[in-house]
Amino acid sequence: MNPLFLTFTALCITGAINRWLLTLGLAAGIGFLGQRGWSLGRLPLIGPHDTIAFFAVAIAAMGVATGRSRTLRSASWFTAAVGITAGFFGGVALMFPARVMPMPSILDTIWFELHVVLAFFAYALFGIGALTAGGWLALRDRSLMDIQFKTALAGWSFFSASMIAGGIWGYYAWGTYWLWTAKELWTSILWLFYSLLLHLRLKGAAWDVLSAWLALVGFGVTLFTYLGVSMLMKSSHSF
Amino acid sequence: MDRIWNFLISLEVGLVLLALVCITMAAGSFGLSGDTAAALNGMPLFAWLREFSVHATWWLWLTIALLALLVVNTICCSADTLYHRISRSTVLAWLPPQLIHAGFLLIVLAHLQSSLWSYKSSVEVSEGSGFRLPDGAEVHVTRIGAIFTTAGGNMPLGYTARIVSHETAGQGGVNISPNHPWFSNGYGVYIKHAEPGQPPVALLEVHREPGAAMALAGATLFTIGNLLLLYTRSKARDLPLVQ
Repeated sequence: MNPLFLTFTALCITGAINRWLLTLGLAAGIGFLGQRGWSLGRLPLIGPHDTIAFFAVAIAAMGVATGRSRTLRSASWFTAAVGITAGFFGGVALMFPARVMPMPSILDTIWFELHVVLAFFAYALFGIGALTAGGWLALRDRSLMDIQFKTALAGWSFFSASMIAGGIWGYYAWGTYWLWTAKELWTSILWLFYSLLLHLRLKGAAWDVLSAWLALVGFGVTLFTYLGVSMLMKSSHSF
Repeated sequence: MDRIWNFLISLEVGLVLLALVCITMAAGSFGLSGDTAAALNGMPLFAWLREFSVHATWWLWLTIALLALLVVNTICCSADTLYHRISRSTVLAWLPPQLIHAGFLLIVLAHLQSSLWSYKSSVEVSEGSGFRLPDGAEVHVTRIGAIFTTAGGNMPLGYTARIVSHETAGQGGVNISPNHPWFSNGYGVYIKHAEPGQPPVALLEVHREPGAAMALAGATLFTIGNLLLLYTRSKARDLPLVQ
């Protein structure tokens, strides 16, 4: 087990009680990704250990960035939720062996790296959006729904860019920008789901309860798209 | 007439359609396995829909129908927004969502093009032999090899082949490898696998994706709209509506 990643996981969980510990944990996570990338000679984006680790660090990063907003700066519950979520996925990553695999030629392109990195930024933002939506359901502070909307919009934008990069990669790798596999279908479902969530805001504050619940469901759809499809369904994106 | 128009531009209709597309695709994804599913990536979508029974294809028929309604809803919403807002608000207030809508529509249109007229075939060739593209162009494979890691090891990371055609003969041919296909007259030649031997043999695929250029144009419009939307919303204090 990598000591830097263990430090990241431990600091995220203890960061639940202190924002600075969470920030320190994030620094350890970024250090781990840098170290792992340096040793592999590429971004660590292949296999369950590396991708879940990347996801955990992305959650911490997006959580720390979002936590700087005026509404969340003094919200200890938010720091706790981000720390526990990032720490949980850090723990899940530790359950898988950190394999050293050479990069297959088919993955050796900037379009693949962009596709995966942008998708994880989006997944992390969807997770942060779910946390703020949960916070709104408990506290009913309207500004939390503003933050939820911002994270959903930013996440959806990253996800759209990821899909475009994936389409370009697919065209050069497989001859088509679209394949009918479970992963592509769930990717589209996730994109359409967040399109729905963003449009729902046009209905006004009276629909905030539904928006908040959908933001929670959205993170469930995110996790199924990322982990569920890869582990349970046959797809070109399996681990 | 007003009632019909109000229905067509209805946000509620758009939201319901989005939800129904999600549910239909999710239901279909669980049945996407076996030979029927494998065939779906081997032929244009509409050819697949014609070839297989409704029992296997119902969810895609339904998805297409719902997407068609969503396209109508998007066009009507955009037209209505432009008509009512173009003279009353700044360009940055109405343009970004409409660029996103236009990008989405182009991408759907690109999928429709590819669903009707895409082409895919595979061919096994040995070193020194050749084959013909669907437009009749002759292609020769003069060398087949494997790509190994610089650190050594016996497992190839990918494969490579040298392609010589009328177009490339002047430069002695071109090398193709994963992520580096060769394009000729709308057809792409991709290397999928190779086996050493006397002579070495490669599995090549020939694709034509007629919607690719339109999908890229749609993606570009979408990205410009998305960046403008993020810019305008980051400047807004009270997070105004998306549309």
